[in-house]
Amino acid sequence: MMDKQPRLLKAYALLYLCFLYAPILMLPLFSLNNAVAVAFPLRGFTLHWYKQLFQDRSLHAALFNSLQVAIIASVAATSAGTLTAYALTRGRGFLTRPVTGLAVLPLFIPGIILGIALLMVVNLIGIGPSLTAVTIGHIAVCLPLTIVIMRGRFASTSASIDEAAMDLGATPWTTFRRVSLPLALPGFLSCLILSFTTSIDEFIVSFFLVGTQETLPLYIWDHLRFPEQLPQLLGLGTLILICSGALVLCAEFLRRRGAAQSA
Amino acid sequence: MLVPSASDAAPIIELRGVEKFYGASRAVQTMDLSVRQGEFLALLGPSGCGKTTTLRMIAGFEAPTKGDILLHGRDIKADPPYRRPVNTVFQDYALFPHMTVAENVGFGLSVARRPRAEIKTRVTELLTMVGLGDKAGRSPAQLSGGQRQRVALARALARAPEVLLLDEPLSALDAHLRQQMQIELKQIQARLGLTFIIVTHDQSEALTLADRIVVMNHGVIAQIGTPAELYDSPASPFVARFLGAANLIPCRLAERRDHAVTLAIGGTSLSLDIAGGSVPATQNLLLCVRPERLLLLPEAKPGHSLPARVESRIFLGLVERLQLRLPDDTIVNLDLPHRGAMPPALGETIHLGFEPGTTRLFVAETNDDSGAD
Repeated sequence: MMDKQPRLLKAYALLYLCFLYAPILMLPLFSLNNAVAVAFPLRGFTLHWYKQLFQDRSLHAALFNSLQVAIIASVAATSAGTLTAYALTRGRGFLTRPVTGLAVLPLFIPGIILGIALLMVVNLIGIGPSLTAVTIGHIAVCLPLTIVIMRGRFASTSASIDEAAMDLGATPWTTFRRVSLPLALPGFLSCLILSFTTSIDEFIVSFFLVGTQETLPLYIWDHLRFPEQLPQLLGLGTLILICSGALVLCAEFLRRRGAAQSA
Repeated sequence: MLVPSASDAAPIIELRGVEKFYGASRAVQTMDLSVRQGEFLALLGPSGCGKTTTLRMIAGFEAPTKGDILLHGRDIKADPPYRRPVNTVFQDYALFPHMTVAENVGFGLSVARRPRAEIKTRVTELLTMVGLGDKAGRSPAQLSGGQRQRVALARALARAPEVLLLDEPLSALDAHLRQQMQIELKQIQARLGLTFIIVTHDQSEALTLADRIVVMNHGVIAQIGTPAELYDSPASPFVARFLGAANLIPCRLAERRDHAVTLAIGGTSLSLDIAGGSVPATQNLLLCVRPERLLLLPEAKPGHSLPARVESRIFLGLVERLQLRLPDDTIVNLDLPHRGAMPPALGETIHLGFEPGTTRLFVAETNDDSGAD
């Protein structure tokens, strides 16, 4: 009886991991397979699809668009989120509580709703569907995330450290710049990375807001229509997987380092 | 009263009718306090008595709901903390973990845009003063609790504040280190001639450090005075119990004549000389006397002594404390100097005498005024 349970547990854990990762592992597997059709048995190893990938001009344009959007959106969302979170953790106004709730509520709004709403807004203010609109959309998606992370970060440093800075003659701005922000730096960097990867991956909101210039996920979506390009897209998916995995690991490392430092 | 000197006439800090509410709860009520130039003042009281709130109002972290806070006669109530020439040593030290010890100490000067060379000289001077001259490049995390405490002190002194505020600065240190730091604090204060205001709940710390002590309870000043004044002439049972040990014996006023009163304690009557003390105009009283002021009489003196039974004996080093039961079952403590004289045996009935002029009479407490902890 006794030794059966760990074995059951092990089998369960194994199944769980397969369920999570087996489908994802299909991507690298078939991106290296020497056949257009995704089917077993495998036909042999090739780097052909990757070569094709690196020669595709429209793909490069989409990648460039995505990077541009992601950099602007992550910097904007992280900066705004950091300032908002700081105000929310240090402020004592009567608005602090309701604003805290409202600021993170968009995390629970479905992307499709946000997409429609933002599309109406960009049309109303005359920007129209465009890369700018996508950037604004991504900021809206990332902002609640950065507020949540930075709020936790600021809340974990003792309020008396800020008070000590002000006591020693630092204005609130100097206190933020020289004490609060440096102490929250690991959180700040992990926010940058997380919003960057969120933006690179973002599909639904971009789908509504995109104009003539595509982002990478939209490019993939578009090109799935052509069966002969599938292996090439699998290769692209593999590369994206590797990059975002590395970035998320980075963010987590920074977050933990920050947590250990403040403990 | 002596003629007030110049420093008496112009207090460095003055609180006038200061009140502080948090929502509906009152942390400090109608407080008037003058802090003299160059004195070491202690705000003493149990937790929640409003002492820290008072300190934070002087520092500028809390705004009084009512009243004025004056520095050199100027109302600073509206000034933010960074514009007040007052610095604080925080209870948790609040050192900047991302800066070195030297950067911590030099922060105030650097914010004030002092020249780099001046900052360096001043930091070295301060770190040497607190005995950390060799730790300038360390990070606060590499220091012991006592060393962090010294860095916090040096940092708060760097800008040469008019007043230094200390919020329970020694509470995190162990007993031995705390005593050592108390002596150092006192020496530094004397050397710099600065005004120090310390918040503490530790009566022995207040007695050791302060020139004057402000005893607070429930947001109200219970008494202000020198340590000796507070100890010898407490204004209330609360103060008597909070500073040192005190016996409070319930009694009834039977008769009063000039400096003498006759009290009924249980069924025994006791005549006392209360020269200098006041007699409340009520029947139910508390007779307050310090354990070392009680006398062990060789024989009963009718009307001037109380019979008491020895319940227990506690050896305290300097004295032996006898716990005695009076006829009305009140337990009192008597401290007997430890000089080899044979103390009475347990269960023995002895005769208790009162040193003239060392007793005080209070109105018997009816409410929560006794909340010492």
